[in-house]
Amino acid sequence: MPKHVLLIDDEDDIREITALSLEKVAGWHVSSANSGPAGIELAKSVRPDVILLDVMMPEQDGPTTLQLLQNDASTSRIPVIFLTAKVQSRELERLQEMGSVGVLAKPFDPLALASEIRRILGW
Amino acid sequence: VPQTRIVEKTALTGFVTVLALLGLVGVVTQRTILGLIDDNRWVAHTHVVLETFQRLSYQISQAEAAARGYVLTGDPRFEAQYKAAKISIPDLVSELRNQTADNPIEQARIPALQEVIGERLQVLENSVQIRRTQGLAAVLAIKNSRGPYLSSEITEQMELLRGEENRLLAARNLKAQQSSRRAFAVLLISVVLAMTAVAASVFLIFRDLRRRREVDRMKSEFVSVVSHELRTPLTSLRGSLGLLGSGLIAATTEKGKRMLEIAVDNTDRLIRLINDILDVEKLDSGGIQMNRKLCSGGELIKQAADAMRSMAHTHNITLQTSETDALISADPDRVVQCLTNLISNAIKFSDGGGIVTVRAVSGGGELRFEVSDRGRGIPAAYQTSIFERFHQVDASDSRKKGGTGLGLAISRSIVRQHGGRIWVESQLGKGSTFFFTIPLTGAESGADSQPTASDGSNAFGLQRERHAETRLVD
Repeated sequence: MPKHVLLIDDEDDIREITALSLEKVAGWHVSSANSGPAGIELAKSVRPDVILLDVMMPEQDGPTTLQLLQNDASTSRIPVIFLTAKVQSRELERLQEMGSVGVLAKPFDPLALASEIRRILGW
Repeated sequence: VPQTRIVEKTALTGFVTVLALLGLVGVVTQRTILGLIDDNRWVAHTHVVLETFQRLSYQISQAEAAARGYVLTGDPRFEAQYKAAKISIPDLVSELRNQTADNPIEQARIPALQEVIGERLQVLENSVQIRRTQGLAAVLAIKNSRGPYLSSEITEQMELLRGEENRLLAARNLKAQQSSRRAFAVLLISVVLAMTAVAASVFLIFRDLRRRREVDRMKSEFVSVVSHELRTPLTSLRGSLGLLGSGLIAATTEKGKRMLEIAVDNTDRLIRLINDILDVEKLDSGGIQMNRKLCSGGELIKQAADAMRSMAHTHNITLQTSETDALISADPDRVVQCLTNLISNAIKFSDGGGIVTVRAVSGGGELRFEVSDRGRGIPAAYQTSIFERFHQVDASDSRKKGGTGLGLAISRSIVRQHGGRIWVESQLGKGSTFFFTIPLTGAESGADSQPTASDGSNAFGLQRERHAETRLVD
């Protein structure tokens, strides 16, 4: 059974490329949402194996979305990996401490993304 | 580095001011205290003069008493006493003359006193001589009425001089008291001034340091945001090219073509972003000189509108401009850049079929450009912050609308470098009007180049009526 990934990012191009890369390279199934609230709704219905969450999004940013996911019993056990263009080490540490299982920096290699996610999750 | 220099300059200026102030305080205090010492010296001098008067009176009385004693008794001890007193009197008179050398009034009286004393001593001497050679009876036989007269004359002259000296003493005492008070006041004021100067310096240094920290914080925030803004299109670029390059997706397929399209779009976005970042940095640091020329406001509007017409057409927006013959001294390219930024925003945030109006109104020594749309409007909370770098109302606008988040920051820098102002008035759901002003030619150095808000609006109100017939062109 292929893994199911939920991608939450407000950038259309990045969503398209990330999904394509995970589907082509790893053969995973990818669902995507363009905002935090839409992502939470989708997470509740599709119950993904992992959530890739963008940090800088308008209105509801990544950290807020993560907190809401953790506060909801139906989504609190889904591992979340931040995908961020903010790469200062202090920022990365802060994101890690928020309860995510890992942080991946943008830009990423589309061919290595799946194996990075496997490494973080121990798949 | 310039911030450090500012702090150093403030510190240096502060310390130089404090030192100069302390130096001044030192000089003033020294002068005041010297004055005080001088005043006290004069008081002491007056006491010395008064004592000399005392001694002179005493010696004259002594001479009179001894002479009288000798005449009555013939006792040679009285004669010796009389001689000793008599010899000391001229010395005391000349001592008095020296001591009152500073006072012309007293100096004028001393000869009269000297004369009457001399006469009195002569009368005494005569009595003593006659007593010695002819006996007591001969002395008693002399009917001389001048003795008592001379004594009272001496007393009177002495009183006049003593009175003058007492008047001086009172005046000098008063002056010494005033000097003491002044010295105290000067010291007090000096201490307060020096403390104020030190406090002001410390305050200024701390304020500069705080500003410096604020600038540092803003810089690092800017670098962080720029890094983020650059990485976002790079992510799409790296991703699409990576997928194509690996052969996982063939460039000739539909997906492949889409990847190429994403790569091109994001390359364009990167180019715009880099240009704008460089522009805003250079503008804010004063690295771009405004190439000022005499130009017509109407011509600048026309140029900007021409440049934006195809974008307006694509978005199905009608662009309306008005004419003005007002002349401004400005960098035409930069003012057009500012206008195209505002027009481009107005088009992006208008609904299809909408109208964007560009006009210019002169008044209050400046030309005011206005760019209006009937779009979604800007919430009041954002109406100031949108002019900051990367402060869009909605961060996703930069992607959706193709902006960089720097257009308004660039426009603000351009306007400020021309000595103008930029602001927005907006109503949610009804639209926004962006305004910016450029000083009119000849008014730049005038007092009315920066009118107050109320003056400005009155002037514009009048001007608006005059331009009522302004022709609108599509």
